[in-house]
Amino acid sequence: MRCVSRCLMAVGLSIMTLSVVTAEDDQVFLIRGGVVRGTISTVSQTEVTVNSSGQTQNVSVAEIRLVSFGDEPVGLREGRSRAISGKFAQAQTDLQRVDASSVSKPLIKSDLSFYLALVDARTALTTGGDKAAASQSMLTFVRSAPKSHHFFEAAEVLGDLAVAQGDHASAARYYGSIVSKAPWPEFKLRASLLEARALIDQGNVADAKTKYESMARLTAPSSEAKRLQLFAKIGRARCIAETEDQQAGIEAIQKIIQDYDSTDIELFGRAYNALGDCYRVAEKPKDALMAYLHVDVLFYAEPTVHAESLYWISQLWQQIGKTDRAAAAKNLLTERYGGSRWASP
Amino acid sequence: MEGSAVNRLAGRQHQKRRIHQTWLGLWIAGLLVCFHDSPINAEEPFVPFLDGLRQRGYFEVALDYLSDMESSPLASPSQRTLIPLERALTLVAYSRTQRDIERRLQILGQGEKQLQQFVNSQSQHPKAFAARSELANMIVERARINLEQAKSDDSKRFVQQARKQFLRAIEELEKLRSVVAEQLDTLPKVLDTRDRKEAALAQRRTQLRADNLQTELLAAAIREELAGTFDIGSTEHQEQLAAAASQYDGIYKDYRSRLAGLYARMYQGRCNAQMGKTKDALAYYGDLLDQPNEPEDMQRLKTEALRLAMDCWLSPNERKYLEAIKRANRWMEIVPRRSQRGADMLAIRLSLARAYQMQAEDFSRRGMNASMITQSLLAARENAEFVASEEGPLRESSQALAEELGSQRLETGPTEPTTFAEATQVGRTALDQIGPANGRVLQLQKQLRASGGDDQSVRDQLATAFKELDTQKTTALESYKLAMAMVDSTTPPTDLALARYFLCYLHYLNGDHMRAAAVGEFVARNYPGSDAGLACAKIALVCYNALLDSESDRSDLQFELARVFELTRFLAKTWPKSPDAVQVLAAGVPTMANAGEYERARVLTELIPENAPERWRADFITGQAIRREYFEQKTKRESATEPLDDESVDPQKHLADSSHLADSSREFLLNGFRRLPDNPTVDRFNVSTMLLTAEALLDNAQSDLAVEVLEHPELGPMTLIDANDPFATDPLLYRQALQLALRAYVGSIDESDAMLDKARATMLSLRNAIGVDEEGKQQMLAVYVQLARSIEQQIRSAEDNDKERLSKVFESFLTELAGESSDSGVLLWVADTYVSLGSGLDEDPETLPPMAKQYFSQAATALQNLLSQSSLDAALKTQIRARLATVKSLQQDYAGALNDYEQLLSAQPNAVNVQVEAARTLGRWGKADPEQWERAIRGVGTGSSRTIWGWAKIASATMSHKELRGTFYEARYEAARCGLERAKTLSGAERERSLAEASRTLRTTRTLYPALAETKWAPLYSSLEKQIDALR
Repeated sequence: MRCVSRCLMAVGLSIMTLSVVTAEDDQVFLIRGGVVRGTISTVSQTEVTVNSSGQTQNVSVAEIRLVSFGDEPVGLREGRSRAISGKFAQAQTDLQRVDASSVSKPLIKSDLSFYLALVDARTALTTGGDKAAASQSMLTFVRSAPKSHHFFEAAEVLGDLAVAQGDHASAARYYGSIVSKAPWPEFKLRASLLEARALIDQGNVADAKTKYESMARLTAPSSEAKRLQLFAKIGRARCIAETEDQQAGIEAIQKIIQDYDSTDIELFGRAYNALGDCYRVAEKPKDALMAYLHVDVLFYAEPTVHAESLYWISQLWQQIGKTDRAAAAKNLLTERYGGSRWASP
Repeated sequence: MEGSAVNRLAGRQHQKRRIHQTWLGLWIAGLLVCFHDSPINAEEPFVPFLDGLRQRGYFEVALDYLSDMESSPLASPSQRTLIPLERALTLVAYSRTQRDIERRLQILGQGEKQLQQFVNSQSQHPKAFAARSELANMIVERARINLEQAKSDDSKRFVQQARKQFLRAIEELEKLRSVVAEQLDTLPKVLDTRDRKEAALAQRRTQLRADNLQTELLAAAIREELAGTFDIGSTEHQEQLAAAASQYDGIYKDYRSRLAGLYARMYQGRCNAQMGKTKDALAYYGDLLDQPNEPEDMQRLKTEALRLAMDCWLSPNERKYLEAIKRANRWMEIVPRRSQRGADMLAIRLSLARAYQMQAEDFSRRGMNASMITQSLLAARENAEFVASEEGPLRESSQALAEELGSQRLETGPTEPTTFAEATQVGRTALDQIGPANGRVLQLQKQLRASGGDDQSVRDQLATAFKELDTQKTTALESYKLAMAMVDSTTPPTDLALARYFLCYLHYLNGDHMRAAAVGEFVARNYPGSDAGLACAKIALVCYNALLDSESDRSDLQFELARVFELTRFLAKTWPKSPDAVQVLAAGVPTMANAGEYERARVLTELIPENAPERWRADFITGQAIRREYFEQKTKRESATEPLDDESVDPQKHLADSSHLADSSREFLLNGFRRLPDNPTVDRFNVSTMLLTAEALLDNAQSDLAVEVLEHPELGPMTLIDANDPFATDPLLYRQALQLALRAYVGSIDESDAMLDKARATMLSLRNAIGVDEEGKQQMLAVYVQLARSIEQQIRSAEDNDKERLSKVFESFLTELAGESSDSGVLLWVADTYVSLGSGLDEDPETLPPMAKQYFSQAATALQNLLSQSSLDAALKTQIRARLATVKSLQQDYAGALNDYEQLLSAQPNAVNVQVEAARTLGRWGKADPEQWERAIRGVGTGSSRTIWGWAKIASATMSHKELRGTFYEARYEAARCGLERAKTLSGAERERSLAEASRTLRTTRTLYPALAETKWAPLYSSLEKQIDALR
């Protein structure tokens, strides 16, 4: 009897499930978990509007993990999913499989061109590729869809490509557009961080320090904003070590390492890279090497962070006379992050 | 203890998980023992080694090891008593691996026998009651075997047997409980823990109470398990559950303020739930869920209680899904993110998914709004998917539920891991294979050696085995590396610490010491409370030591030394009760000392508890290191002609530092001596340290203590010499011992003859040992000089009323020696010692005490007598004359002294040291006769007949000689000082001129020689300048 009722219940549920989620639904996946399903009517730089059962819901771009369309081509769905998880080569194959001319809906068309440009850009920035062409693709996307919900991400990618090509002025313009246009503190903070890093790239440590300090002064309303301020603290400590007091810089970073949760891989990766920088400035090559090795072994998930650590690991192994290890680190750097600026600084 | 009792009582699922966690902890210990070649573990790690072997499935090896330990000198007596118990535990674990039931029972029987032997022979052992509990557990083990047999055979008979065994186990535990209770009754109710004896009784009482609690909990748990052998709902089933619930209730009432009592309450609820009394069960769980959320142990208990409560709320007779949804969601907000993927939380989430599903069903039945149904179903699916994304026993059921709710089938099969849990699972599987693969390699290597290396088939097998080992190592390493990229804020911290530990260990196994150390130290510092923390600290330390040893550039070891030091200190401070703490400190001290890092050696030594057996040796090593540093600094300073680079502006500070080094080294050496164990090993290190200790004490005028050290009954160098110990045949040690003994005996001379006799005998032995050739004479002379200094120092540091007495004692010794000997060395020493005796009493520059006058006179007589010997060579004669002149100067016979200096200098006018002595004499004379100030500056005589130069010419003669810079500074200073003294006797323009010249002399010297600012002369110059300015 018990078994029978269970079977009936299962049948009933499948019917209900089908009536709730149809194959044609657009879906907005949220960062905090959960999905908003329905039909996407409009998008803007800051919001995606979803109509579901006669009700309209505006979802802030800051809360969105990804957007998929009910009747999109399979290649776009799979390519997008792989691009988001960092599998750019496979994503490129999936996306290129899509016949763009067969896509009629403008939002889907625009989404496809964004992901194609994104994959080109990320490939160029990591394993290697034509950065100038990738920049061009992304610019074309932005010009064709200036109101896209991908706008801020596109601006960030353009900034990253500009930094990688040594075009710091353009990078500042792209990152600056996020700071000025994004309504969310988290986006502003993130773009400011990127601006500060670009300044360090140019050797302008003093201005970078000022920028980091201005970020630390902002009121952080969310945990993500507070986290971004920690990155600024790390950056500031690194600048202090270079311009004022090496030991103070080292201690500030060690305190962050001691006080915060090491499951934040990017935070710890950047902290250890900065610690390595401080030790280098203090002419302690073995301590610096040890710091960078933490990134290589434990906190390497973020490609730019890992590439940076590998570059210095290679240099420092060379400096302390371990040429074979220097070569191994260099090989890994070029093999995995050939497109990174660290592979050919 | 309470915790361990509780752990054993959780439900079957819970038990499995606990066992798994315990296994991990033991596995860590096992790995370290099996692969760790650290030098820091000096003692036989008996239990950890056995744990390691058992956890890795090497039961036969563990049994062989136990047999070896029965007669091994490595096993301590206390370890030997544990052998039957450890063997029993090994046999029980071994029996579980057997598929054949008969064999399993046979091995279990052997284990039981061993356990019984332990219980019989060690009835007073602290582990005796635990062993008896284990005996009851063995019966339970047999019952479980019977239940397994029941699945495939005569079910009724085996189930009956199992029930009997459960009952027997309960009976045994009852008996044990009454014995424990009886013993508890014999102990006083009130105990004062400040009293040593009562503190021991209090400790015993705590142990007995824990044993009692554990016994009660076990009995209840076995009864609950017994209930499971009856049909659900049958009278027996209900009766047994009711009895178990009642037992738990009793425990709860007795221990309600303790965690164990609260766990009993939870199990009481569980029994009620099984009886279908969900309302009662929920009431018990409610008691627990109303408790506060802190501390963490309480939060864990509440999580478990909620997990059980969720089952009740969702049961068909309750269907309180709203309560379940509310409670679970609230709890998910309270529990930290790092615990969200723990087994209990996953189970709660799965129940939550079912609760939402029930809600959707209910909404549907009641024809409610579709969007509410949708939301419930989506929430249900989301939670089910969350659980399905994690490896574990709930994955299958949660995946099925998620699919039922419309989720896409999740990919399974041999694909690349996509989550932290999957990656670590792959890593663990490979890691588990490393041990057997390594065993296979070792076995084949043995076979190959036995075959003389010719067996091609074995060679091929060995190559394959190596390949397999490499594959497993690589897979394990790569998987854990991959897992590191998949860490996020929901990764359970314990799992993360463990994964990082394995990563550290695998890098270490790979010989990548830098990476292993990086991870190891990170885990140690970030997870000091986890099992992995200490293990990682030890691996990191081994790696840093390996880096230190392998560094080819020995001139730059700062990084390695700093890491070894910092980590050793961290380990000792973080896990002070671990035996590893003392071990690593004891290993770190010589590492630091050998590297010249005496300050770090000192810090590590002081962290070793004073009563630890390792402490005395660490004291010795550190004392030696500091003394070496003291000598190095002293030699450096004495041989330097210019201020040392590392000297600060204040030379007085350096003198203080140097004195601090001497004091500190002496303190460590003396502490080491006082902490010497009974029967210390007679080895070169210990004997030479005893000599160093005696020397340090003698330098500090502690002759009596030095004698104590030298005559220590086991390690005293003089004791060893008397006993003709092989160490006494080492000529270097022998001579050194005699020299120090001579100083010690002379320094300890009192009215009795004992020390005098020893001094005489030792002097004779020393002369025989050194020999009478030229080299021997020089050495003997050095000994005499040192002896004289020591006597002078001893008199200076004596109380006023003791000074005269001591001087007389030495005088008699000297008179005796002078009378007995015609040896020029001895006589010269006698004269020098008279000078020392006189100087020791001569503290007033104005008047000469009568005793001092007498000693100076005896010194002069001794020197005159010596000078009259015909066999003296010219150089020695010159030396004696110079000393004679100095003695005359000390006797305030300045004219006589000056006459002697003139004679000496007319033969050797460039003897700068004699010129300096002559100028000093004139300087002293100036106090009595102001005419001499001018002569002290300008010298005696004019032009080529000026035999005594005076300070002005000494300065100009030494100015260009860098090696005489100290003499130059002194000459310029003295010229100015004599100028000042002279000016005091003058007036008018001449006085001004003299003061101006003195001032110019000082100023010019400071300006032209800026290095002077870093010498001891700087404060003297500035003080003199102030005096001059005050007169101008």
